[in-house]
Formats: sequence, C-alpha cells, structure tokens
Amino acid sequence: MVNQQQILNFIFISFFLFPGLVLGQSSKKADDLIEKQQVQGITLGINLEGPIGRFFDTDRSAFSAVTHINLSPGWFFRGEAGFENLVFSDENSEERNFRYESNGSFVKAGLLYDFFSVDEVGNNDNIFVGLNYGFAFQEHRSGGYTIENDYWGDFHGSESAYLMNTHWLEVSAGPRTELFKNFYMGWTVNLKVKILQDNARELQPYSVPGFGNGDNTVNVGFSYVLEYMIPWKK
Amino acid sequence: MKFLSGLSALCLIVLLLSPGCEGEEACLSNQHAVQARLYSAWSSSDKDSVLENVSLIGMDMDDSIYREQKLSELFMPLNFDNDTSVFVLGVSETLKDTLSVVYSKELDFISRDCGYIFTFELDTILHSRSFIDSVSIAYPTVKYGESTANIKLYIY
Repeated sequence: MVNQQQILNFIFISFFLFPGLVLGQSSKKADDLIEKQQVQGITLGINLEGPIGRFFDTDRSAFSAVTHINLSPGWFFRGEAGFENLVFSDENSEERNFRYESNGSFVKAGLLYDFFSVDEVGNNDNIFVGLNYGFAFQEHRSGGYTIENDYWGDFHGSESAYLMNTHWLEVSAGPRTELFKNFYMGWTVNLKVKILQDNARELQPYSVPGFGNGDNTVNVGFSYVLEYMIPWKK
Repeated sequence: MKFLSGLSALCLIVLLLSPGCEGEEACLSNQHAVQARLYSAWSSSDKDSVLENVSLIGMDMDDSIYREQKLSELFMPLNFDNDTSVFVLGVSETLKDTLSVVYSKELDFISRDCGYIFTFELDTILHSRSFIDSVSIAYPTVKYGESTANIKLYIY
C-alpha cells in the first residue's frame, strides 16, 4: 500500500514538473515571438481532482467541468459543475458499521483576480486568487447500520434515501500556465467553508460533492485543471 | 518561469493535504452504559462506598455483567430494544436488589468513521430495598464520549 502511494505521488508530482519543462523550452523562444496582444476568450476544461482522488478512495467516482471567462484585464469568471457518486465497498461498510450510498451534483461560481505581472511577450500565464460560491445537492441513504451492544444484543436499522443540500464559500489560489497555444494547465488550493446545510435527518453525508469531507465545516481541497480556450477577441 | 519552481514545491505541500493523507477517527465502544457510583446511606454527605462480592446481571439474561467483584462504581449497559432495562444487583446469594432503569433514546450520527449511536435520557429509576436505600439521577444523559456518573446508589 505504501509503495503504491509512493508511486502515485511520484506520478502526481511528474504531472506538474513536465509542463514546467515544456514551458521552459517555450520561454527560451519568447524573445523571438511576434508581439501580440493578450487574448480574451472562454475556456472549457476538466478538473482532474475527482479522477486523481479515486486513486486514494476507490469507493468514490467524481468528475467536473470547468470554465474561465476573461471578463476584463485581470478579472476572470470561474464556473464549475460536476457530480460525485459514492458507494461504500463491503470492506468499508463492515469497518464503519454502516452501509452508505450517495449520488450528487454541484455547481461553483466565482471571481478570480490574476495578479501575475506579465513582463514577457506572448505570456498568458496567471496566478489567481479568488472567491467562489458552491452549492451541492445529493441523494444519500444508509442501506443498513449496526449499533453494537455486547450485552443485550446489537441494533440494526437503515435510513431510506432522501435529498439534502449544502452551500459553501471557497477561497482559491494557484497558478495557470499556457502549455501550448490556447491550451492551459492550472491548479489551485481551495479553502472551503460550509455556510449552510439543509439535512432533515440524522444521517450525515460521508462526502459532499465538490466540498469534500461531510464531517467538517472547513475543508482544504485541490483542483488540477486542463482546459482549452476559445478566443473571441485579440 | 520563475513561478513554476514555486509551483512544483507547492505540489509537495498539496500532496500532504490530499485525501490519501486523511486520518481515520478512533471510535469508542460501550458508550451506552449508565454509570452508577456507590455512596454510603449512613453518611449525611456523599461519601464513596465500596461493595464486595458484587454481582450484576440483566433480568432474564444468562451472562453476568459483574461476578463477585469489589466495586465502587458500576456500568450498566442499556437495552436498545426496550425503554426499560432491568438489572439484579447482589452482594450475596440472598441479598439482592432489582434496579429498573426507565429511559428514552434518540438516534444520533457520530461521524462518517463511527456511524450511528443512541443517546439516552434517563427518566426514572425504580428499585427494591434489600441493601439499596435510595437512588438519585445526577446526570440524566448517557451520551457517546461522555464519562460523567449518571446515578448515585446509596447503600446500607
């Protein structure tokens, strides 16, 4: 298990180092580039947080799409929508004394400010700091749970499926770089603070789509986005 | 790019925050027992008392909770299927008392690692009077993670 995690970590780090090499080559050529104006457009991309997270938790499947829209110099709109499905494996159900299933979706929207000072011709890199609002709705259930009582006997129950939703605010920061023409790679560290949760029953979500650990009010998350920009203005 | 160096370094920090590094919570067991402390009925103030040869068994149960032990406090597990748990407390073959603990219970969810538990609210305690003088409820809530004594048993 440790070896597998080390291998995954190595692959993970390599994901970040490789683009650095690519960009390093392109920056050497920067002086030779023809001067051009900064482009504006809309990007469409995918957040690899979910697929990467599956290496750490095989009970979870998650995926999300991301867009950035350059509103004005320095300011970007960021939108994200995705889903997360989670079903406890038999092993985890036994360990935790309950079965659990959740299917849910989320949307996030916010503003990013790019404070990276561009001093190089043709450089479209960014360093973002932003604030996002997140909303998730999910249907979850516990197919069965056990409360252990060694003396009188265990109690067995279940919780039927019902809908609940969660609202949170998210502060994010991180860089984005143009790997190839109009193709970007970026990542952010996200500090998420739950502000409201509408949950009518006892069962607490194991994980809130887009937010993370359902036990916590504050979560730290990570996003790794690959996106393509459709320019509308040069 | 200068910032890419920082980017790579920060990756290492991010890895530390990744889901694979989250620790699992340790779950407590036997969190559904009423904690009873023994006091002398002869003292005007609460004075701890120790009983020898204490046996405790649930009514209609085959297994004892305690068998001929020297104790100053008892842990009496509550039955999840009823709202009353009845125990027989004895200090010899002939000297025995019956304790009936009446309570309500509520289902709670502790955490994603530990799942569900019951929280109990003690209502009444009925008892016979062979060697138990009286019983008082000091703290009526039997809750996961709490270790406060719930009842005081005053014995002759």
